[in-house]
Amino acid sequence: MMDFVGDTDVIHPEVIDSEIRAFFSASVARLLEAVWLRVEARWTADNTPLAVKVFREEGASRREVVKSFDGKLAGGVWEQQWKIELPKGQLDDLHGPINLRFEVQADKHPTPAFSQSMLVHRTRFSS
Amino acid sequence: MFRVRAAGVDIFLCNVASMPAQGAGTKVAPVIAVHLLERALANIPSGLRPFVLRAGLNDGVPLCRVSDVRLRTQLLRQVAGGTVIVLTSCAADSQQTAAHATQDAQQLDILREFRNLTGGVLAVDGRSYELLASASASQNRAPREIRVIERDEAQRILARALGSPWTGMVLRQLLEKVLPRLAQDSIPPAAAEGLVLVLRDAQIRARTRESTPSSEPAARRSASEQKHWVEFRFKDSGTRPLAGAQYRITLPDASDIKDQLNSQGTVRYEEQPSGSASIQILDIEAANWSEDEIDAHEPVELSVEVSDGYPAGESVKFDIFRLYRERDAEVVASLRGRLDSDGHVATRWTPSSIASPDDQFVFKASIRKVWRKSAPLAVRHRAISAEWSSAQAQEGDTLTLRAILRGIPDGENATLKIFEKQWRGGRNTLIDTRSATVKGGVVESIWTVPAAAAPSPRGDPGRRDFNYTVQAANLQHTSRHVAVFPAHNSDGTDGST
Repeated sequence: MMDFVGDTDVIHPEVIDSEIRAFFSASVARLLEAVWLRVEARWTADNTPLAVKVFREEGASRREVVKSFDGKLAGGVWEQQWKIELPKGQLDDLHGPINLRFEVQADKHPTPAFSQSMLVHRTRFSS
Repeated sequence: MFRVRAAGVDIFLCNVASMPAQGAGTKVAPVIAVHLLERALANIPSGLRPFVLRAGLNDGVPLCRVSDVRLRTQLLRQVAGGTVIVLTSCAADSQQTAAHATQDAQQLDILREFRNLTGGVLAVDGRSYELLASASASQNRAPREIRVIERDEAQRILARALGSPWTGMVLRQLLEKVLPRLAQDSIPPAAAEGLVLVLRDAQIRARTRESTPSSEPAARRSASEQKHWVEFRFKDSGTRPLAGAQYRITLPDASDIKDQLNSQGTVRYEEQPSGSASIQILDIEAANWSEDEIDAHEPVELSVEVSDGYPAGESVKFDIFRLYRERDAEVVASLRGRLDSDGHVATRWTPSSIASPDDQFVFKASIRKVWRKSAPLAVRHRAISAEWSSAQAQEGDTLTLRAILRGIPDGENATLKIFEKQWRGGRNTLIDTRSATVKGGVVESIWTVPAAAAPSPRGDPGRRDFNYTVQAANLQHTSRHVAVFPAHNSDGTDGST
């Protein structure tokens, strides 16, 4: 319920909590496959700048950013297609599947939103 | 101006401002007007819905049902009370006059329809506008009570109303008729032909049709009481203005208004009595599936609850997506429903209506630009297992074949095909085919293991392996193997010779 009451002759500033959801278009994918990153927002002003970072999760506390995007909300939505690519050095160092997530930080908003985890398989086996 | 013919003369009904030039007609006394009008009523062609205008006011009485005795009596009383009737000679019946009469009749129709649809008031950006005939506005007895909006500004206001999601289709069509009929700007008392938008002083501001009756109507309050204002400013969590959000506000003067926030996310009303206002931002408050998980053949209910302020009958769109595949082009099903008087709407969907329903789904409920998404619904449409009642058996044993299928309705036919494994290459041999029906997501059949066609060579244990496939609807699953050995005789031999 978004009901507000106010007396006359007083300006009533009200904040409606924004709702931001971020997700990949798939939860499992292969390297070099194209996926969509999508952000859907309610009660968030149009043209709000977004900073998007795709990162590889490494344990609970460490993460490594693999791709960044800048965007703006339009009609409550931002989306971007991305061909999953990781630096070759990382691919050489890593073994097995890779978990990626992305974070979206709306400008001046207090907290970021996070996507679901996407399990990325290699296109071929590496030794 | 409207013309009827009676007693061999043309009678024009009009207001004072549109009276024909002197000499073209004669203003008649009320008593004669009553008499003539009485005779003329029978001649008004069906399909025309003219107004009789009372001098200086624009609240006419429709003549559309002149056969109604009560209305006729009321009409005649009004005529006697000051309706202006102009009696002209037949010479005034020029094509131009006829064209004007038609035009005026259309204009009066527009005014009448406007009043019927809006209660006489068009609310735009928190202001209440009235629509008047230009001549009527210029003849207003207290011109300071109204401000005629200039044509350019009136066009902008109408365009704003046309762009508002609150403007219904019928009103939209009417406003589109008003736009080309807006009068050119003129200086009173001169009045160009056409319609004008006027803004009235707050104390005579009309209510919207849904206004709440007040024990002390604003119109009766003194102007000195109404020098207060109400202002709300809405921002998002990032302190940016929330432009365009739809709201419903109840003002201190009891007006109940629906509109949308301006580009600054602000709503402000002036000329209010001291008090408080309550405002509600319209939203879809809940969008839920009736279950968290279902089988594909089971119908599931999608329900939506909205905040107060949406009218009953409002259309709600339900777009169903696979979870995470939620781009507009990826919608798998679209449904529609209408809000009931409690702000609730529900519809049903059966996942098996789409291909590959085994997945998670969300739905997006939309009312114009407002939307909300549901939590995911897990839908099962798959073969879970196909088992034998035993991993090993002897020839002649009876085995139960049991397969579990999710998302297949009861009574669906299933086929079980039993194969003997050919370990030395070649295709497996189909041994038996059995039919069964799905019941409670389970397919069961019994099968007695046949004896081998030929005894196994001495020293060979005679093991044979069987598996089966189960197929129902578009699902198929294959069981593991069951190992079958020759039956042992009571003397401990395997019965082979």
